Amino acid sequence: MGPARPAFTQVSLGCPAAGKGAGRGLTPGRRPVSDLLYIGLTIVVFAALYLVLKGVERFER
Amino acid sequence: MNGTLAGWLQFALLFVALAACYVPLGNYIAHIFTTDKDWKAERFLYRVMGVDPKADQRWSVYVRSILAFSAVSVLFLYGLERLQHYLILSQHLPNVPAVTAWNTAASFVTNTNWQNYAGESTMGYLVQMAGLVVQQFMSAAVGLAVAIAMIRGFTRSRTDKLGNFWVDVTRGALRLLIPISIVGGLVLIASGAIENFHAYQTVTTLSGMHQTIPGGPVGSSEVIKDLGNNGGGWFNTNSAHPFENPTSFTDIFEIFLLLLIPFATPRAFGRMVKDNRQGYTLAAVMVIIWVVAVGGISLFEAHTGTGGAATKLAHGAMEGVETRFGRPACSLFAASTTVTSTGAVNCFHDSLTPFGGGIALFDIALGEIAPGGTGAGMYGILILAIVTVFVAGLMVGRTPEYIGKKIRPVEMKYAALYFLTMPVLILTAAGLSIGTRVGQKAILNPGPHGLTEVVYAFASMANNNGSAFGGLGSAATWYQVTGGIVMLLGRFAPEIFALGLAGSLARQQPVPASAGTLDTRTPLFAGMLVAVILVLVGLTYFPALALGPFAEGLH
Repeated sequence: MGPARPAFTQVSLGCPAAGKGAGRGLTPGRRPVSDLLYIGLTIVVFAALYLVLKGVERFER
Repeated sequence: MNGTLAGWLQFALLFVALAACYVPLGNYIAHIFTTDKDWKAERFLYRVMGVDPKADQRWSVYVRSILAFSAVSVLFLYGLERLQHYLILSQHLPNVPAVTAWNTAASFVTNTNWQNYAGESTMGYLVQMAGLVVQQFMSAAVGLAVAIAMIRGFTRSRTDKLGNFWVDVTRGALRLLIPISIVGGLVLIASGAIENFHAYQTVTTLSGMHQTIPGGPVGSSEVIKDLGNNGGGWFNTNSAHPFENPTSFTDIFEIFLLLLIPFATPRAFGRMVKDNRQGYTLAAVMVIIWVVAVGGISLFEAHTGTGGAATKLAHGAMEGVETRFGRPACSLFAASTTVTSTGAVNCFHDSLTPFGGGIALFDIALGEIAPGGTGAGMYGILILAIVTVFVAGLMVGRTPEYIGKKIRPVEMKYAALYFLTMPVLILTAAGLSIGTRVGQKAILNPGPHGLTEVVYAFASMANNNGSAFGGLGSAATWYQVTGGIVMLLGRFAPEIFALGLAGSLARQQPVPASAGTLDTRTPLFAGMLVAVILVLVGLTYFPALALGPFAEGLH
């Protein structure tokens, strides 16, 4: 019923440049690489937070 | 009726409604987190999660639980976005690009709801409901849990246990956020917010053009967007969209929702420490800052002296303003969304006058304290109260104590780490963006306004606000990646320091008030707290404010 990919005129209030990066399909060859990159980045950031916690615990002692 | 008068009447109505909810809601929040009785549904969830609800956690274990829960949430949401095309209710939308999916996952798990996408053309119904809306509930519940654990630091002694994170987060969601959301959602839907699972409709307009009308279960998600101080809109134009915010009544109701829990939490604090006047003092500080913010933005936005003929005819600068609501409602919404960590908008913040926008930026820079985000406002202002007690102790020779706990060097180190996190994140990220070619490429406005846009973006992300000035191409990979990192660090690093401080307080033996104790329940202390907040934030961000909005406004 609806179009396969609705086309909107992007008017941004809360989100500048919204839609610029959205709506594109995945490039099959790059998918695993980019997904691994961002999963890895998540792990790195939370590992850094964990290290902050360990540092604070050490400071506490 | 004069628009300005209508705006102030709306403000008065809002104030009365919030004041009426302060005691009952605050008492209820305190009850939720102090009662020993578990609901059946809660016991079922604890069994599923393998949690012993009676087992209290040491502060560092509490933090580990938050980090583990949030890391899993980011990865789950990321996966959902990346696979949306293969899932039901996708509205035939493609998978979300990796960098946008990651930024969005970090954004919603941290209660920020910064959106580098247009919801109606990027996210299908399932991702919105099972991904984004779920995180709007859970991230708010996490913030509230941290605030409650922080309060327990004052109420407990000779222990390092601050409660059980899994119990707190479950109770916050089940007993507070979901019930209010059901009632609030029905109010919004009854008032015209849409609620359906229709496929997008393509219609022919009177001029013969084709227009695509999106749908979705908007009303039920709109309520938690505001109530949980999230701010992530179903549609790109957020609360300026008639499907999200159809009438002036829903507009004021949404502002009420976003202020409701943060303003009631000081009452819960007063109740839990068994001294309601402590809660009144903190609530008074929050109200003072909020009123000044509303007044300031309203004043500058209503000013027609420099705006030319169009501004004079419209009784204010109307660019970027939703004409259904007008300039006063825009000012009230803008001030309320930036002093909380909500970030929902009903007008374009980039179109605010330079000083009006500067106040919005300053509100965010305050760091979620007046009244701040769900829970985040409470633990933020408690830390600033501790700093104020310490400063007062240095100035007038009083013993630095707060709610019967001594403020020693170790507590001050935690408070300093907490307070320094934000400027380090914001100014470093903004500096790198302005100083590198990759960051400069996305700055679409030159001069002071461009600087304001960059600083506002990172202040908003670090403080988990989520509103934005337009004009910055924040969908560029640089801003998506740095923004995601800033949001995660800006949310969880301060929580680590806040809970470390709470653990340190909980280990202490309470000290009885003496002649040397500063009374922290007086207007004098409230005034000192306001002054400390303004001086700390003002000094930290003065160069950025001077070179950005002040320079633009005085030009």
